[in-house]
Formats: sequence, C-alpha cells, structure tokens
Amino acid sequence: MRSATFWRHFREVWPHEIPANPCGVATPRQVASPRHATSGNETVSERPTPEELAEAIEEFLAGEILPTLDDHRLRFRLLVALNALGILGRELAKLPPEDDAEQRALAAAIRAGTVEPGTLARVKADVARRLQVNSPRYLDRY
Amino acid sequence: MISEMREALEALLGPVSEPVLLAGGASKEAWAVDAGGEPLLVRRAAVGVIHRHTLSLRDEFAVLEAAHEAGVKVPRPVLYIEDLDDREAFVMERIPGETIGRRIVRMDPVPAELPLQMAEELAKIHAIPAERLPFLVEASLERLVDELDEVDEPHPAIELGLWWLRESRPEPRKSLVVHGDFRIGNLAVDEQGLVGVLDWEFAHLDDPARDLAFGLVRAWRFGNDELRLGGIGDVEPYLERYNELTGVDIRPEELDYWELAGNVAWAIGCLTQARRHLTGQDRSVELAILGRLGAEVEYEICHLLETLS
Repeated sequence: MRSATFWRHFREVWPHEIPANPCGVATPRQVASPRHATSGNETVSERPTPEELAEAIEEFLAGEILPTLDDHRLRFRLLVALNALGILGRELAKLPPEDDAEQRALAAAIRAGTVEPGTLARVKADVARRLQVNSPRYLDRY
Repeated sequence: MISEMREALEALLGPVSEPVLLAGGASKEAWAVDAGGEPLLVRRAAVGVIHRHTLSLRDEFAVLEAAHEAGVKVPRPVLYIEDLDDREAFVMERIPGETIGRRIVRMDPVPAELPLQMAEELAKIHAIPAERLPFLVEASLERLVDELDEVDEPHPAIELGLWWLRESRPEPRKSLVVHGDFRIGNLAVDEQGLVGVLDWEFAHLDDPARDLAFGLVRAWRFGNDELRLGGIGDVEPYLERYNELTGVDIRPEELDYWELAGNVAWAIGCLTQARRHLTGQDRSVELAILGRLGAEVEYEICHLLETLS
C-alpha cells in the first residue's frame, strides 16, 4: 500500500511511466503467495520476499528521502536509482514461486510432538543457511 | 493539529510550550511539551489502532499510576485524556537519562549499580497487588502459538522452541503483575544508574521469572553478548538481589527456561512486526526487514536448545 503522499511526490518527480494503479487510495495490499529464498539445497519460505524488500526500499526512498532533497543532481541520481530498483523488483517478481512443503511438513511434525533424533541439528543448519543471506555477520557472534 | 493539541492541553494543564513530536508510529505518538517549567511527555494514540495483546492507553496509565504508588522508579503520571484532538492520550513526566539500549550498553562506564537496581525495581513491580489492576490478563504459551499461526509461515526452529517450552515447563509460580517488556531498551539510565522504567503497554499477569529473564535475550544485549544481563552485567548478582528482596527462590534453571521463552516470543514478534508492513497497516522498511532478521533469533533458539539438552 502506498500512501497518497507517496504518489503525490512520485507524480511530481517521476519522469517515466507511472506504475500501475497509482490511485493514491490506501488499499490493503493483497498478500502475495510466498516466494522462497533458495540457498544451498534447501528451500526456505520467507517474507518479505525479495521483491517485497525492493518495494519497501523504493517506498522509503521515494516517499521519505526524495522530498527532502534540494540538490538537483542528487534528486536526479535518486530517480535513476529508483528506476534501477524498479527493474530489480520486476526481475525478482518473474522468479517462479518455489515449494516450501518440506519446511511446512517439518514444522507440522514438531508441532505434533514428533521430534526425530537429529532434528535440532538439521533445523539449525537450515537457519544458518538463511542467515548467510539475511545477516551473514551474525554467525560470527557464536 | 499541533495548535489544536496545544489548546486542548492548555485547557487542562495551563500554559504549555508548543508540542514537539519526538516519535511517530502506527500505534503511538510521543510529544514533548513543557508546562509551568516542568518537562512533560504526551503519549497519544495513532489513528485506527487495534489493541491486541497490548494495553490501551487508559489501562497503561492505570498501570503507571499503580507502579508509581508502589514506589517503582517511573515517570510521574500526570493525567489521562480521553479525547486529545480526537484521540486517546496520557501525560507523564519527561524524565532525563539515556533510553537507547545500544547507547546504554556502551556507556563508559556502565553504572556499576545498574544490575542491582534492575532487580530492585522488579521486586517492587512484582509486589503491586493484582487486584489493583483487574484488567490485566494472564499470559499463555497458546497465545504465542496463535500469533505464529496467524503468520502462516513454516518456522521449524520456533516450533522446536515451543515444543521444548511445553515439555520442560518448571513448576508454575503464582502469577504476579509483571512489566512484560523489562529490558535495557525500556529503561532510562544516567551516570548514577536507573532513572526510570518505561513502556508499560505489555504489562500482564505471569510467572515473575519471566520478567527477570526477558532482559537476558541476546537480541537485547546490543552486541555485548558476553554480558548475559542485557549486555551490561552478569546474571548472578541480579538474581541473588531479587531473591533476597522478595524472599522467593528463583533458580538459575528457571531463568534458562524463561530466556528461551523470551527468544521464542521475540522470534514470533519479528514475524508479526513484519506483517504490519506487509499488510499495509504500517508501511516501513524497518518493520519489513524484521521478517528476515528473525532468523537471528531462531539461530539463538537453536543455540540455547543445544545447551539445554
């Protein structure tokens, strides 16, 4: 959901096509089907998805930073960066959704009280793989 | 809006300075205002807030009053206002001191008395009579499970944490009034130590060991991982002081249990905070990224489970 303010600033400064549905009306965003970050051999479902992250950055830069910039050169460069981010977001949106059935099955089994030997080690390795993407330096703290 | 608010405040408090917004946000605003030379803080609801698992401003104000009466170091509660420019609000003293957790753990030196002072404030909080605050509800593991189910994302690490918490629950202690979010980031601290306990919106009834252990969660150590008590001290003197003051005998193993419970709660908290962004309730890149940083807390859950089993 983008605010009316967002679209007001966006229309003022955006030199290209206005993206679809710039209605300026706050409508709850449809919950997209989860896309999954693949790392190593494991499929891990996580939100925000890559394109949702790109969108969050875009909103922050266009909605909160752009209006504060007076320097023409910086404004221009930020618009170019937003354009690039838009490309990135659309590329990411083209990725095929992946299947998180295995993680769901594991989560459901643990919920039902079935914890096979070795489960903790496996789960920890899965989380470590997610951290390689989400916060690689965090692993140095252990 | 600022002039309407100032007018409404002046009708209640006499002449006040122009309100300055300190922090916005989807759920609450904080405004600084001075009345008769006294620095005050106005906590005001944001538009369309749904109170789920947190207290309304009216109830939070009542808890603050009860804590103040019980001698807990808190900002002096001044006034609850049902309608401050169309929204609920309350006014309290604006106390000095550092409130940013990351800066507190990097104070040079961190006040030596701080761990014991934290134990002393907790002892006073837990002595607040529950009858005084009849709206407080009992916490439960099931509520956490419900919150996780609403997120509808598979998180085996969190499930393992919940499983262990169900299997290994210590003998429950009598539920007491607890702060619910007692950690370094919710304290005001100066060179002498603890100035005030802030942010009472998570107050509820619970095992007192839960409150003692919440500040041990690694995420609240702000990088000072080796100091288990919120990155500022060791646990033993803190626990000893609490037991001495209250006459109970909370054991270190209970803190281990509740430290894991605190991590599980915060891992789920990261996911629900990210949902505030994803559903459009409160668009913010900081909330969005919590959905990914929750993996840090899940790793800590696994680490703790390794040490516990």
